[in-house]
Amino acid sequence: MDTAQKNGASGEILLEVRGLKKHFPIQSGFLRRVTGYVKAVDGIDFYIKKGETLGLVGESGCGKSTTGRTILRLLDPTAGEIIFDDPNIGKVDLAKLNRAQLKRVRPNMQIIFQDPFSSLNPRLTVGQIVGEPLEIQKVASGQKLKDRVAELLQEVGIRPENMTRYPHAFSGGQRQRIGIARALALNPKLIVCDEPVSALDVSIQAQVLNLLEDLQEKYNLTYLFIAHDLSVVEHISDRVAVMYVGYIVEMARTEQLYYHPKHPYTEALLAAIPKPDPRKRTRPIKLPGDVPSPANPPSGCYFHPRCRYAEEICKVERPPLRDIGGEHWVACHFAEKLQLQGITPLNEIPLIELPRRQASVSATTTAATQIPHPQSLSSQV
Amino acid sequence: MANGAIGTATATTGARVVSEDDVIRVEDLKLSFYTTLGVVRALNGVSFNIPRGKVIGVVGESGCGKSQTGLAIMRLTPGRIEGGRILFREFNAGEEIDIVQLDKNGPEMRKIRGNHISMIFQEPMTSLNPCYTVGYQIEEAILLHQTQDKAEARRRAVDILRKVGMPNPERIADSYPHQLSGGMRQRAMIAMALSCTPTLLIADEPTTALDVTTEAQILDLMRELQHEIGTSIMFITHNMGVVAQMCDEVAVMYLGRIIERAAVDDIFYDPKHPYTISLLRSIPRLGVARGQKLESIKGTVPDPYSTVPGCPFHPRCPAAIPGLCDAVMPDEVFVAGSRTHTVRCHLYT
Amino acid sequence: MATAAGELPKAARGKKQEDVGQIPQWKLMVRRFSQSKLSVGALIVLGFMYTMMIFSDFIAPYPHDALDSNNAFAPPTQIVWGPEGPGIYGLKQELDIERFQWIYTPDPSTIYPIRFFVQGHEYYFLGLFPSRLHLFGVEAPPEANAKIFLWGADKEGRDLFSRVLKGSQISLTLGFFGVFLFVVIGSIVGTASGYFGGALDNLIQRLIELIRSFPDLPLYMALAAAVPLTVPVTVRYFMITIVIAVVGWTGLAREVRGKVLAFRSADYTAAAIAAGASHWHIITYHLLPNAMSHIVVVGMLAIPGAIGLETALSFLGLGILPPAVSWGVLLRDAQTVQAVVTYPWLLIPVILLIVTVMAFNLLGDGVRDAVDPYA
Repeated sequence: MDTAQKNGASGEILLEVRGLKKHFPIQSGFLRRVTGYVKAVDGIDFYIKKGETLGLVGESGCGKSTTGRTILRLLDPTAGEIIFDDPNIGKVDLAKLNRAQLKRVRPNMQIIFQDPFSSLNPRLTVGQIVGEPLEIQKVASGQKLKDRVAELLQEVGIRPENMTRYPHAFSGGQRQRIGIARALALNPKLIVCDEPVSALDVSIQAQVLNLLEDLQEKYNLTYLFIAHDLSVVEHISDRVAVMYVGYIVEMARTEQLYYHPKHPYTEALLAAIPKPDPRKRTRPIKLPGDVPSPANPPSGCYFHPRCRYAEEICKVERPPLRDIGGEHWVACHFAEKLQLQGITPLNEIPLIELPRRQASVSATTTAATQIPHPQSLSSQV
Repeated sequence: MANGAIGTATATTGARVVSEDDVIRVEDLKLSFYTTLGVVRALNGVSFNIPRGKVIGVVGESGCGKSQTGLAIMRLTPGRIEGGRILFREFNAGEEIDIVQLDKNGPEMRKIRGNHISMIFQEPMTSLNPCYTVGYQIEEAILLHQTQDKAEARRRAVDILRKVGMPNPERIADSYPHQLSGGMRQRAMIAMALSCTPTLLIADEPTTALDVTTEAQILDLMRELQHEIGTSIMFITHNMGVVAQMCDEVAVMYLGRIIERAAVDDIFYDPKHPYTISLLRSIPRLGVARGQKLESIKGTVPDPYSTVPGCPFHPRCPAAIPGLCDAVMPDEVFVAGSRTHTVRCHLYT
Repeated sequence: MATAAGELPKAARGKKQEDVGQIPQWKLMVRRFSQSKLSVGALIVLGFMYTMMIFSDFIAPYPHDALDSNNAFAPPTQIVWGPEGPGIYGLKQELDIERFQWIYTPDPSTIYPIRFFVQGHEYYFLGLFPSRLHLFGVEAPPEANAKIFLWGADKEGRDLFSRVLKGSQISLTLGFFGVFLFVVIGSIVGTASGYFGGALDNLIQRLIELIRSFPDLPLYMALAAAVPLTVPVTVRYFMITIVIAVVGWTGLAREVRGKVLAFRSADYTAAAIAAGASHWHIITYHLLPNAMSHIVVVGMLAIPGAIGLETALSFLGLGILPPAVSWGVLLRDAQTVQAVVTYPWLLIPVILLIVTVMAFNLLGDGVRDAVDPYA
């Protein structure tokens, strides 16, 4: 059950983010004067330990993708510290590095994208795409490069012969595998997975999730797993952080967060998950109004206009993210007092064994002899 | 093979649940696209029925033809319908109309579309005109199909907006679509679709583009309205969770065919087709088997230009029988002991 | 090595299905292009015209500037069948005093045969190799006044066919080079503007707006008028090229900027940045290759405009000047209604111009459809 222990997470912190802010200026008029800021990420703190998976969930526009990209310095942070424990250099604040210094740290942190179509350059062959990071970092060239690319493709389940093909010949799931191979090329420590399975069909989604888990085990990778699908996040994460309008409102171990949420927003999110069980139809918690715009957030706690537990203090004072014990971080004034509803496990759905193929099936056997008993199918609860 | 006598419970070979009270019966529908790269056979003989007042979920992965089935019923598909019938019976009229035979731009089809059958899409902006207010667009639909009185139309438009849970329906009626949030737009589109109290509502992934909390509210709303108005809903989605929450019956599609059809409870608690079983196992389930590997279906959906001999699922099927599944297309049959659960698989023939 | 390995399974799978995956995108574009019959037709027409242009000195029977007062305004020559194959009659020239026009009457007594691959006036093939070989010519004694004017002669008795061929050397290339020049400028400026953004982008965009705010025609005329009249024709040629490019690049730069902005924010660019790529790597590896198809299309669609522009400037006496020949120069002879009515063959350059411009437009359309896979 406990993936963190299985992975042998040492408890050492690989990445620590303190007070990270990313504000995008809103420009208007001929002179492009700055008339305001979209506070996409507005002062967040979290940490990821070596070998673990931190899930980062939230609704669209909550700043979770911006967080991922700012950590990798694909975007420049407005404020805050991003402290990364580089295996060669030691602890560095990525927010302060310049281009040349960053180039030395970059091999250790890579990214996997959501859209399997826009993430691969259509003009390059698969070999060129996967080999690109190696070329950029001048790690390998010539035959060595080709061998490494072949090895990487094999690792993600793409036949190395496909090196000379172009991305358009692959399905979404295969493209995602190619994107994963590219991210692995430089032997990174941290991989930011930015909604890696959201664009995939369910059957393919499972393949990619399994691949990510296998790779994590094999290379002791650390994942920042950004997603909006709470079931997927629950499956893959050791700890989960919930974002709302540019702010982390809750962060805890996965079971803790899903079964015993302490923030009203988390509670509403969990209640909203459409559960794949027709015998367990749930009604969502009514959330009045819309998600506020990060350009013009409400006062105090950003969630207070929609929160059914809100009181006067919530309108005035923004609650800080604080540890209420056992690595459970919550940004709510009433975290200790509220009795919130978590999920109940769905394990009463029987997992039916696939009908086994009859032993010694020959082509001449008639179909009728192979009817399995329906009872035998459903009996294996 | 689906041309058994109307009203009988079963046809001889093609097992199908047929009743007098179906609003729509699709029989052996075939649809193809002729592209520069080849012919895509999007639907290869799809047959199903939608009973009055029920919510039918149509699930499957992308490219399985679920959206095209919906568009074919609306006669909005860009593909070519090459066979089959779509029999539609409106509320009080006893006569069945074969939609396939109608001129897709003719007056009869226009009367059905939007009035008796309406459709909502994943992206609300595709059906809302950005140049007109939401209220005007709903009024227009009402004026076209229901009443001539403008004041009455306005009253009804505000009414329906209130019904879909708009906080301030008068104000919303005077707003333009771009002024509304994604969830609000989806509500406006549902209001528009329901403004003429259609017999059948086709909902094509109506919540896929929405956030989970908004999705939950919209699903809740649709369920409520469905109870109230009694409209039949064909709910097209790829999300098994949404199916479980919304639908009475489920049809599972794979490569342009329905491969299993049953009541929602049977689909989740007693699935028969290996594809349905694998699909259910491949979704991460809250609280279940955390830290274990998900079961996944090997391989990928074959590319749309190729045709697979035999059962279309056999290359990915863990229970495929060599010599049979890769050669013979299985017929749709009733699962033993059931009058509602059909499956298209050699394991059950 | 990798290619060989990649082809193995393809062969194993049998050749029933071709492996689409190994076809580079440009080949798919070619395939898509070849499905548009109109565009392929346009390509063939243009191919023919450019071939004619390359071999124009060889095909032209007479020097484009050979004056011949005996044949002023001679109509297109009638070709007859003689004992030695095709031939022509000699012409008798008379002056119609009343209408003050030359009247030509054929003299059927002698048929002068048309010969192929004959020796004629000397020219330099492609400006390099001296040659006297011509595709065809009429075998006639100098005093016979038997010249072949396929498309008639102008007021100085110069063969219009030869002149049109000569003119194509300027008209069909100048627009091309002009466009090439502005494509280069536009791509560089547009890429810089879109990729680096900020103040540079702002400056470039304002500059483009400034240039575009001038009315076109007066600007061209002013620029063309600034080119000295006395310079040799080759220098003038290049200066007119630059005139075409100076204004043309702005539109392309804007479009390239837009494309670059889109590609810069694509995930594959982000992946390259995450791997530590340099600006140069990103521009040459990701941005330009993707923008290239767009640049080619814009360039294609700009060529007919540039050809028309050259013609217009020459027609107005601001572009290529006589004695050099371009189609615009030839059109000056067809300025008056009287000339057009009496000597309609003077309009042949107009027809060619229309055909060329239309063919380029159709070609551009086909290329645009081919490179945009989602249209």
